[in-house]
Amino acid sequence: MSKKKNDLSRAQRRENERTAAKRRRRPDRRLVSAMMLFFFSAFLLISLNGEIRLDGFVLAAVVPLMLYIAIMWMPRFFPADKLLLAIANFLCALGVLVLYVTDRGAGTSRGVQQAMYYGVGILAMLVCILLVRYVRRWDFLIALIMLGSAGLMVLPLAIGTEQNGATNWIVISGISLQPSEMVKIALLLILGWYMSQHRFWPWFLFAGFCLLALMLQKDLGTALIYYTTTLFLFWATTGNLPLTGLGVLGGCGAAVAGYQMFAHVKKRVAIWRNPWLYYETSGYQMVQALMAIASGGLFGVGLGLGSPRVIPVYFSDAIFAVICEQFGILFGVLVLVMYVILILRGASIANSARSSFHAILAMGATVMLGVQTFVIIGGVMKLIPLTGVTMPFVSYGGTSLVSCMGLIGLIQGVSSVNQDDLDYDYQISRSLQEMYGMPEAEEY
Amino acid sequence: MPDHVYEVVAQAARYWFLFWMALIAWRSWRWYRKDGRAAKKRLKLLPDAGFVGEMVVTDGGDEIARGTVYPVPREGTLGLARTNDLYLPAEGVERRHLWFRYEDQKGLLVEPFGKNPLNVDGEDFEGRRHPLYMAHGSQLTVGGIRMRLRLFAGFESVGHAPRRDAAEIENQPRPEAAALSPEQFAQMQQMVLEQMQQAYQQGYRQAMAQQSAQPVQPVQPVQPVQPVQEQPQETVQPACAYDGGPDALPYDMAQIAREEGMVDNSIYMRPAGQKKPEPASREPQPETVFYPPVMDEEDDQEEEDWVLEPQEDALPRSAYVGQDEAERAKREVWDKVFGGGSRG
Repeated sequence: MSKKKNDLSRAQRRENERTAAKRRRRPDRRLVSAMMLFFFSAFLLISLNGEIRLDGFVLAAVVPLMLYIAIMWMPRFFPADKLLLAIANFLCALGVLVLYVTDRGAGTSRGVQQAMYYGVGILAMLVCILLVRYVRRWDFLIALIMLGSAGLMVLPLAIGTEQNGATNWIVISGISLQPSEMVKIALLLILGWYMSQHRFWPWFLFAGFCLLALMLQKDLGTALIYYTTTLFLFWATTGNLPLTGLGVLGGCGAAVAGYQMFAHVKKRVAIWRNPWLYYETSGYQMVQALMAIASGGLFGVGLGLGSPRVIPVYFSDAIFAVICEQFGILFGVLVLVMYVILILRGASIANSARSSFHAILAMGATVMLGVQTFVIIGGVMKLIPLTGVTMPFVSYGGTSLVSCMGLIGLIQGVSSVNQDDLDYDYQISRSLQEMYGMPEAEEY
Repeated sequence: MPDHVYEVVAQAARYWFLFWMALIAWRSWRWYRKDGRAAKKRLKLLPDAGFVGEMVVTDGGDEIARGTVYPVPREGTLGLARTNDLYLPAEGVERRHLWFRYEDQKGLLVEPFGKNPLNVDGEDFEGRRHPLYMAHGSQLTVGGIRMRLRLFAGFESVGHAPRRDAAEIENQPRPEAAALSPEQFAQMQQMVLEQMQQAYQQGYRQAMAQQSAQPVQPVQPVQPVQPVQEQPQETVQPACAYDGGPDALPYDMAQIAREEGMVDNSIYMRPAGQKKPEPASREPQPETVFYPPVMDEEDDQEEEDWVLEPQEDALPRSAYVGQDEAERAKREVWDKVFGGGSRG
């Protein structure tokens, strides 16, 4: 009898062990544990470089912890897409790491500042999730957003400051902001709402107004992102190829016109064609970025080694070159793979959305992030002329990080609405199955 | 740490970081693929997920076969172009003809692009200020194509094929389950019993006539229904169903009707004030309660029946689902999952 009891308890124990192992093998745990280990070891290593500093050890503990909280705890309060959350948080933490590495010995504190912006970004993401999940009557809100966004777009023309040829920054009580980054989310909401209502003129006029303001600010990189996203969404909602083709031709015409009108655009194209001609002047950044990527080789020069700070604006525009120098081109390719997975995930969320508003919102945010990534990484690698946009999640800059997290929030909100719809289907299938003996749907 | 030591450690750590980065990318990719496979599997198990109903072509002219079924998503467009959610390659249909959107407890809103002609339940869209709503069973005419909408179980609409506009629907409360007053219920019960008794008497006369090989006598006027008499225990069971005499009802008619599946409408056909029966108590109903079958005179008079005639090519099962069956399933799901309330 006692033997039997023993056997039973052993079987029970084995079963428990199996369940525990299954839980450990869950994809979210496996991914997050790898990320935590990566950042812990990286921050630990960099804090041992030269003079040992406490803030490195603090970051080695805090960043993995924040990753764990953001990816594993936050989705307990709402049904979020953990993979999307994991990738976005990984890229943010990578940005903090690279900025902290470049801070060592330079007397700057961009890494720690970026970590704080990251916290604000998470808040912005939460706000966007709640907005998508709970707001049902958008009519009035969209009109309000439209007015506010139009005001924000005009503001840099009135009180803006010029940086790198573009007048797209405003300074309010010591805090510098880039309004076009904030209007990105508003643009998506407006496009999504009016396109889903099959109303053409409101979104068309608003997008045209934004593009005009961006052209006047000479912020052509952001204008390219706005234009591509709008055109793509137009094609996605109507399937009208002739008009979309006409839009592409119009875009090309505008690019040519911009080239003729703006001197700094001409200069950028000339640098793109042959940066070595302008090595000592305007092509210096491009040449240094290319040299940094080349000197990194396949595996990089080693974390904390090399000289990333010789590249002008290494913390923002050229941060991908710094990553390639420190970690190698293979690592850079894997970072691109992460972006690709993020975009694929966003597209699949948009595909499974039940309402066209949500589908357009998710697809727009995905396209925006994708185009922005392509524009900056293509620019740094001399695939296209370099424009002054940030690398999503990684580049230094509060407004950019917050707006990117807001875009992820929009996608997350749509994903959570999808999850609710799926629960509803599942409930119905269960009740039908109970009544009519239908095959049971698998637990998802 | 001395610089030369750090340099060696950092250069060695390059491979460590690359390994973890590759692992992170690989695990992300596997997770993405795994979710994709799960979604495909789910779609197989829940093929109707994301759709609110289907359009069944009742008259497709020469272009579209009668009985063709188009699944209807929550929102979408209908037209001649392949990019539409409902692709209708037929004459008279524009490239993008109309768009539709399902709205909870209202039905399927349809609105044409521009001035494309559109007809719902005999009502033209032209000149209207309010949008048109289609309910379960509504008929849509686009070009030369006529289609009927069938909403899936669980998607609540305002009823069956009404001819109403949006303003009317807005002001109308959600209809409750069709409840009869006690008088109406008793009247209907009496009527059905009389019909059944008459049929029984007819059968009795025929059986007797066959037995005695004599001509059938004309049927006597119907007598008022007598309550069912309990047979004494010692009575021998009759060998023939009609051995109890012309006025007797040897079997429990309600039981027979229930067995034949005529009165399984108990979920929504119940007298006013009576509570919904519990699932457990559904099998043996008390003898005093009788649930008559639904009789919809309007439907009987329609030229085109909801249940389509069998064609040479086998139609999908959904085309054969009768109104009663769909209505009952929908009502049961609604009651079971949401307790009869609204989704929110």
